[in-house]
Amino acid sequence: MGNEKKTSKQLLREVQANYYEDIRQAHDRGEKIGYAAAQLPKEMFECMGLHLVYPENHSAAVSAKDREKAEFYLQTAENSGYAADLCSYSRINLGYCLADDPVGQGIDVPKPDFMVVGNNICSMTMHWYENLAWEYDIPYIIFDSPFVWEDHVPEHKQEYIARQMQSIADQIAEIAGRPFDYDAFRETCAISDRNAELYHEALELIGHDPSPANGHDQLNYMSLMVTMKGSPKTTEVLELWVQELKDLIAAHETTFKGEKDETGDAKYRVLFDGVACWPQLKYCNECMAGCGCNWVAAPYTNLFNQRYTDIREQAATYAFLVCNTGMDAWQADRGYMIENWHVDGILGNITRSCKPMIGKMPVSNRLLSDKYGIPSTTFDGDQSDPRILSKAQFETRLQGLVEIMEQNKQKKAKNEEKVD
Amino acid sequence: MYTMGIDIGSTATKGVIMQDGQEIVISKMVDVGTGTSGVHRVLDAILSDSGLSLDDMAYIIATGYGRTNFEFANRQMSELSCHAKGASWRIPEARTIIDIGGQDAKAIKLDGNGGMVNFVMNEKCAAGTGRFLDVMARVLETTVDGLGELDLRSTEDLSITSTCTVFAESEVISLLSNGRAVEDIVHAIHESVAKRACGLASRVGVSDPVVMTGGVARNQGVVRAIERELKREIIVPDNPQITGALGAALLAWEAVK
Repeated sequence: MGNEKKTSKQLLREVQANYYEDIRQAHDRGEKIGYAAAQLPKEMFECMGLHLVYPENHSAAVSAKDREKAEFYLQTAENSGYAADLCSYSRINLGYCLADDPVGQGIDVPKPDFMVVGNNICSMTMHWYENLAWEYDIPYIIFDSPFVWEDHVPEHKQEYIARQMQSIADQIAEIAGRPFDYDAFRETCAISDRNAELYHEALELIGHDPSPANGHDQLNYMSLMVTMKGSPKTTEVLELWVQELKDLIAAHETTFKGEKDETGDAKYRVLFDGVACWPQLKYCNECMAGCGCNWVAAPYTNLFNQRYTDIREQAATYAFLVCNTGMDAWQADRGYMIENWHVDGILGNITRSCKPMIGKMPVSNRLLSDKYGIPSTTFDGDQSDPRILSKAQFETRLQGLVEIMEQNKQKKAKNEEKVD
Repeated sequence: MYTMGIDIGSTATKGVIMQDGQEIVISKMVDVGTGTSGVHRVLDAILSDSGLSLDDMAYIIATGYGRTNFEFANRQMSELSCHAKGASWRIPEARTIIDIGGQDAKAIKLDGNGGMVNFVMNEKCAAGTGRFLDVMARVLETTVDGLGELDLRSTEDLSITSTCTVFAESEVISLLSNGRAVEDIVHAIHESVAKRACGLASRVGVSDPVVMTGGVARNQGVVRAIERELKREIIVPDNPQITGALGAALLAWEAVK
């Protein structure tokens, strides 16, 4: 029994649990802990042995594991004067820090020794982190990225960001108390690049028609790309996951449990846009699977498969995130998934407290629906505020979407019969 | 062959029995919705008045917010598909539907054959829906059915700007306190509802003819406000509130024909 080979999911759970435990132990040993935004050159910190907590990821975990506790932290932040319209990730994290009341479930994290933030995902995050830096009187490292409206990051913008990263290396050296180790940085980047390659491969495999997996799995493994992108442990998990997906495809099997069509694929292949509705993830997933919908495409998870090998490439990559670019890049990402992963319809989570993720969504959905002849709908779910989702509203929109996808399939089948 | 459609909404329950997908045998409505006695009252009424029994029904489809709680249904479908089917049966050339129900508003784009192409529903809250009008009618000491008549007598344009029902209610109270005519306030309320519904319609894309369904379509003041806002004629079928139940009965027939 003990010698049985672990599945990637078992390994993932172990690594995830160890991540939080390692952070707590590092803190107990007196090592430095930073709070960092999710889309940053995290390898610069990892390679210097500095431990990073990702508050967005942590807030998502709190809201997914304990809705009551999430509400308590939200209320704590709101009672302290933070407006309910602010990002719910920020309110949970600020409430967590202010309340000094542990969440339990193995996911508690120590207070930060430094803060690292960029404006490439959201300008509000800057103020959230700044407030914590003031609260704890700790260093505050800023990664400033100009908005990229071009179809690539121009040379002068890359130069601007790359020079900042040189300066950030000096700040890191000061925090770590030793010179920045460029060799270790290159080694960590190489691991990170391999992990991004594997994660990207896994997402492509989930997009395979028929899909070998429940698209929901993307979110579980994504957490490693947020928290441990430069770790060999992540490589181990992802290599195993990719192999499992390949084996499932070869065996014409899938881990998707919902209603399937005659090919063994989910009845409907859905693009899930926006941030996941973490407090109701299980409910949303069960509703979708219950009516045969598998979210084979999720632009959100595809935010974490960036590849780069040096500082210059990193600068360009983190500047060219969809939240920091125009509609063309946003549409290109989704268009690729719809075309290549055979998407039947779009379901978007209007996370009103996350404006960067929803600003383009209504127009984008309309353009994609017109271009690809597929239906789209949105629901109000938020990313981590459990008080937002109305189940009846969600179910009606999902069912309406399913009914159009079914009607489109029947039309297509009739047209194919006529051609035959 | 008889089929039944039952639309269990948030504020009303509607039932329709059809014969061979061609003829409405009976339709009934009560002004209470899911979780109330309305469901069984409608069921009892359509069966007893038609002289039919549940055993006579070849297929039953339930729709509306209470659709999953109707034990006799063979299938549940969204009110979106049901309104699309019901409206197209009555107005075959319909291309756009605006449906304002008790707690939601929706705009549906049709393919010309009764099928949905896409839809947009109200966001965030129930502002601009039937419940909004219920609240306003109560403040104005009138009934929802009386709002359309009052609107006709309006002579001055006023404005209700709050999205929130409670804040809009405060605006109405302020206007009353300032001595504004009830007719003009009603007119402004209808303009407010129309603007939100037309916002949804614009997002899904408006093509003629535009059909309005749902309980609020009985209010001619809202219909006229939508016509002004969209600058086109709006077609309202007879008894627009039963459109969802009618569509459900038609879809039930398609399931077994």
